[in-house]
Amino acid sequence: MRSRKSAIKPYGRKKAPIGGWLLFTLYFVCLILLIFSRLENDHIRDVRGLFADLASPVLQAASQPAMYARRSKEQLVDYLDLFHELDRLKEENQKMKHYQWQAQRLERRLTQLRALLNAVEEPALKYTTGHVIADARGPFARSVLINIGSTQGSREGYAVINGDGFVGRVVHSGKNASRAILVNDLNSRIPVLVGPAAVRAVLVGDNSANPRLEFLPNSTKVFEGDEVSTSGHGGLLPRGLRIGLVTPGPNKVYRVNPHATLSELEYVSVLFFDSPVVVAREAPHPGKKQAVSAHRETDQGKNVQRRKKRHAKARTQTQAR
Amino acid sequence: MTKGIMPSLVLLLAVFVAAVPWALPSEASFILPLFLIIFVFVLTLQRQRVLPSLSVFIAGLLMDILTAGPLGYWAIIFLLTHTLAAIYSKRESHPGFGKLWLVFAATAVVASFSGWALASLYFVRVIDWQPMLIGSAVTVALFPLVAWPMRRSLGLVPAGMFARWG
Repeated sequence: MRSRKSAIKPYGRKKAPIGGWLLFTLYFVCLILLIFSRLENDHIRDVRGLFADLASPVLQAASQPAMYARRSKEQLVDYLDLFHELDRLKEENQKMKHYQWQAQRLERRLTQLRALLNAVEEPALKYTTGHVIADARGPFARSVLINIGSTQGSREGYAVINGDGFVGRVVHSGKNASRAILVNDLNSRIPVLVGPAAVRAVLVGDNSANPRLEFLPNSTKVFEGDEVSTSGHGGLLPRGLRIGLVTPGPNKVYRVNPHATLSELEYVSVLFFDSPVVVAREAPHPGKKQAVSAHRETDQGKNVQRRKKRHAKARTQTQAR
Repeated sequence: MTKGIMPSLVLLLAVFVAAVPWALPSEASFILPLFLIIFVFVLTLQRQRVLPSLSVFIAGLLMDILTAGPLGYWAIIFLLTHTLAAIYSKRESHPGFGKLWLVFAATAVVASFSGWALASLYFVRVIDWQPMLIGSAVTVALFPLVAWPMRRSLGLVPAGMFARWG
């Protein structure tokens, strides 16, 4: 009969190698991938987008328990704070009634003024809504993966908003999912208007919770609590999407406290705002590419012919003289 | 080879669970990725060391893809944890839980520091170390939460390992 002690398999595995060449190769591959990622290699970006797109159905399924857990937590907090919340909502409702009356009055005035000016009607922004299926963690990015892909109309450069305002923009759009960088991401640069004077500035993300305002004109004064919204300069984003409020930061740097809780995004909408800048920057569709190149060739051909005609005309005129 | 499928699947599932939005504040952005090193550590310490290095590498790459970080970053941290756990398993036969926890704490500190150093090198500037410190402290505190159920449900840790407190 074997003793209990001998039944336990020996834990020390002196014969098994720790990793050898395979482990060394894997470390080497990691370093190579890191260097290529740092150099922002296009292939790495494409592969990442492809795999994120492939993983989106699994992420969508895996995010369901997380969503239920979040909702349960919110419901529990609401339940515990029910009476306080009721008082707050009553107060807010009173304010809202006043704002509603003001908004209706301003809307009537705006319609009258537009009619007087014979102004061109601005096209209404279309959008689609989806939910966040993964969010970025670690030191590198502040971004979210949303379950709206190119099949739903999402495209690179489109603005992403939620009920509280602007949250970020789409940087990669796969078939089923899109990656959007948030306003506080290190790579985010958003042209904005600050305060009632509509001072121009650039909102720069630095991976902290509150992005900072840069390129403010020297003579202008910015106050705490000033509203910050997108300026629409550059044509990438629509004008007037509210972002947050100015808050003073250390070292005389103005920061912006976003209206949206960026770390707790659940449902977001992608605004279909087509801009000539985005269209020109994007790689043309293979079908369109041919059409574009054909046009270019035709245009080039026409230009050569015109130039030849001009030269011939000039030559005749010189000969005539 | 087939022995490695189950722990590899557990690790991949853990990566997906860690990537979904749990509404954690931005200061706690390191907790969930670092939480995965508990899985790497415990799964490496199992009998016959069936968790392949390749699975650890793939799990790290998947984490990089889902968290939009540079490819290879979490893969290196996971591989480092895997290597340290493998070295430890060769040296120690039947450690008590306290000692195992202490070794994991040391591994977590090394992994976190490497992550911070690597990220600082990547950005060519010293990045904020506080989220990394919070992440590693929470990971060390949560170690028993993963290590204990994994022994019972999956039989991943040898019986002798937790004999003193199980």
